[in-house]
Amino acid sequence: MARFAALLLILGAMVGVQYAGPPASSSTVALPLGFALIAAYLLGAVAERARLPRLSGYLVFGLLCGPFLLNLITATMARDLQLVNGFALALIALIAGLELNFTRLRTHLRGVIVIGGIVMMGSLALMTLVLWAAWPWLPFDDVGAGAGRLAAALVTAALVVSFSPTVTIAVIAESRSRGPLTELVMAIVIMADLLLILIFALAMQFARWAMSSAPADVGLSVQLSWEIIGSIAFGGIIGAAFAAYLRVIGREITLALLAVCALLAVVAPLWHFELILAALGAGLVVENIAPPQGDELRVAIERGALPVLIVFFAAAGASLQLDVLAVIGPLALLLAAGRFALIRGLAALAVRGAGLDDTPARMVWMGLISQAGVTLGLATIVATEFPAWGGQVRTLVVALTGIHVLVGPILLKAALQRAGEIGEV
Amino acid sequence: MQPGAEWPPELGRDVLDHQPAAVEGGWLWLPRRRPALGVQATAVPTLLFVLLGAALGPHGFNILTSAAVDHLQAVVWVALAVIGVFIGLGLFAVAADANSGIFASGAITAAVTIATVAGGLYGLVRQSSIALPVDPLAGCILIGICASVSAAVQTADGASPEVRRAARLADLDDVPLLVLGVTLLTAVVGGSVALRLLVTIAASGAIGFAGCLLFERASEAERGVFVTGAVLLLAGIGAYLGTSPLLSGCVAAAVWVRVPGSADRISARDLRTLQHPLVALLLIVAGALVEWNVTVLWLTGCIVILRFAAKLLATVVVAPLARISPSILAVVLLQPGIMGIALAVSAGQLLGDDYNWLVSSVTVSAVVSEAIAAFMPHDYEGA
Repeated sequence: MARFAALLLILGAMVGVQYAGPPASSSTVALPLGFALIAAYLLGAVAERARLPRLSGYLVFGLLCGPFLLNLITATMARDLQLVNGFALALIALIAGLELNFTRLRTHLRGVIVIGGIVMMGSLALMTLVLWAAWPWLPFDDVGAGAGRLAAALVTAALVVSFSPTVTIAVIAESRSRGPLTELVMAIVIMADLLLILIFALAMQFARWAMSSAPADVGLSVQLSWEIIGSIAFGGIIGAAFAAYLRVIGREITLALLAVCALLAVVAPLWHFELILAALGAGLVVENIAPPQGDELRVAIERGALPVLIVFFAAAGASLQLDVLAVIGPLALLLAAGRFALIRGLAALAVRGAGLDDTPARMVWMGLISQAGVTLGLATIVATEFPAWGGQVRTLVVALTGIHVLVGPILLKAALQRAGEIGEV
Repeated sequence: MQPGAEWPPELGRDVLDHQPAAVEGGWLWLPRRRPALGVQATAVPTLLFVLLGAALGPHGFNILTSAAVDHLQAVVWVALAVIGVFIGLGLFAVAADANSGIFASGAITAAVTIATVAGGLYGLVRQSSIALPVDPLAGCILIGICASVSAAVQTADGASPEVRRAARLADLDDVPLLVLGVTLLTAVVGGSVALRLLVTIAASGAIGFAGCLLFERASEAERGVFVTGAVLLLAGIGAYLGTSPLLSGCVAAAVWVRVPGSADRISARDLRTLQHPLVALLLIVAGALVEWNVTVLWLTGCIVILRFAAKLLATVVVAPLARISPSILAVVLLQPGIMGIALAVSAGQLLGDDYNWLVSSVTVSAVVSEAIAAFMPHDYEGA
């Protein structure tokens, strides 16, 4: 009751402030940040009581208060809130790395490769085929027949079938899950993310060649090596330094953890590293080469991650473009249903193939539905390079992501709950 | 909590005037030893941070570029809100057991300083060939308000009642800075002044009450979220409405002190970890904003001299009324602390580059005044 009264007071303050007129300062990011931090947290607690992931509460908060509904977080504020994105992505991926223990993972390695490979490659192949066949009837610009259409279908399919390591890891972190299903899902989405970057880069090269919008880049392999191997190596160096700090100094760990994330978020884009891979590399080094003793790091993560996750997902909810969903909704729903069926079917097949159908692994498909930031980022690259059909594909991907970012966390938490892995950390 | 009850000793005053952790942490070991020579320690870190900002800033080596300073705006708003909260916590705890004589003395001190500095400076500006880019009267009054604040002094446990009264008086002279300074600032920003001030007070009060409802029943992790969220909201309210987060922070703190419970202690404890880095950052940004030109140097000289004269005049007027020895009161009042710099930075953030001369002259004059005060012989410590 007290919390509800506090929420009403804060809502009243926000309404009052916006009633007084337009902002007097160009920098008003503190207002939505503070509002999101408290109000989204309170809504997350309500979601938890309803046995939903807290993240869903944060997302729904963003959606309700965002520019398309209550407009308490205006479009400008929603854009300002995205400032925390890089930082949040680094923190989430670092946590993922810290959760991936190679010794424990070795027992699931076959499952990860079989399930991840079949689901990712199978979905990609089938979705490419469907999109290629249906392209003339889709609301996209004509890309001609033959190689052009195949390239466009392949690029679009890569975006449609991608998973979200961010959301998956965030759900696992906030529900403090640990167990075989948790490790399997996390390893699969991370492997799929690596594969996606590779496939996307190759598909884009093919599209460039097929549509002659730009000459094929001869340095592709160098670029990919830099992006993948370089990112992990860079993250590994940062991770080694962080591990040394934990061992030698071991004080103010929350602050040090946040500083590591800030460093990764700032430096990785400057050197064209993949931020998620770099942060993941840092976490892997800490966990597998120089694991910290005691609970200090876990406590620091809990303290540091909570506000970052709240703001990140509230911002994601506020930036969901409901107008786009309204326009392209039916097609997006159809594709979402198709993707859902593909992932579920292929995962069932793969789990049986890996001999894991009597284990919690049979629910792995529920952890592969989420989509979020990485997908949107890649869609923006397509829209920039191929403004005509790429822009339309981006609109579709925005709508699809809107659906999956809401549904995915709910399914994953339900799976973790059924597997009895929640609250085990 | 009842106002003032079980108040930790460092909260009954402007803790921020003794801000830099560096001194307490020990890396500035030299200043720590200076009181033994009869020199106050507080000047050196303020001077260092401002000088560091000036050296790194766009008018120095340009490591902290204009774009970087712009990006730091949001953090500066948060720093101002935290300062506002600590002003409020200190002010309302002190006000609870201060008598009307001390209140009146504080008000007279501030009024004499504002009138002398603002009036004198305006007269000098009109007489000189210095051309200010904006309304010189509003600028001079704002400078007068910034100059009116005195830093609080640390008193030893066994300090005499006279020294305690002087310290209390120095605490209470923050009131004009908040009331007059923020009102004038809001008026200069433009729009409906009364509405924006009213909404700032109402919204900050609402955040204060929400804090009372949230802080006490929260787990440690939740409390971190709530306290941080509340301070961000307070910073955002001041920034959005153009009324300065100093006011919004102070209003919320007033609620936390006055409403029974421990919201004041919880917020103070949680914010103390943020306080030192944020104040250091504020001083660095203030230093980075300093422009070195003839106008600024001329204004700085005038402000330092006028403030010195005003504080001595205020001492003469107030010392008998407050029953404090003039030699003690003068030394206490001469130290400017960082509140004036905070208001000037607030003005710079809201009013833009046209008011850079104000930020520059207030910052440099505060540092010079602090240095002068540091070399004043004082015998009140532990008195």
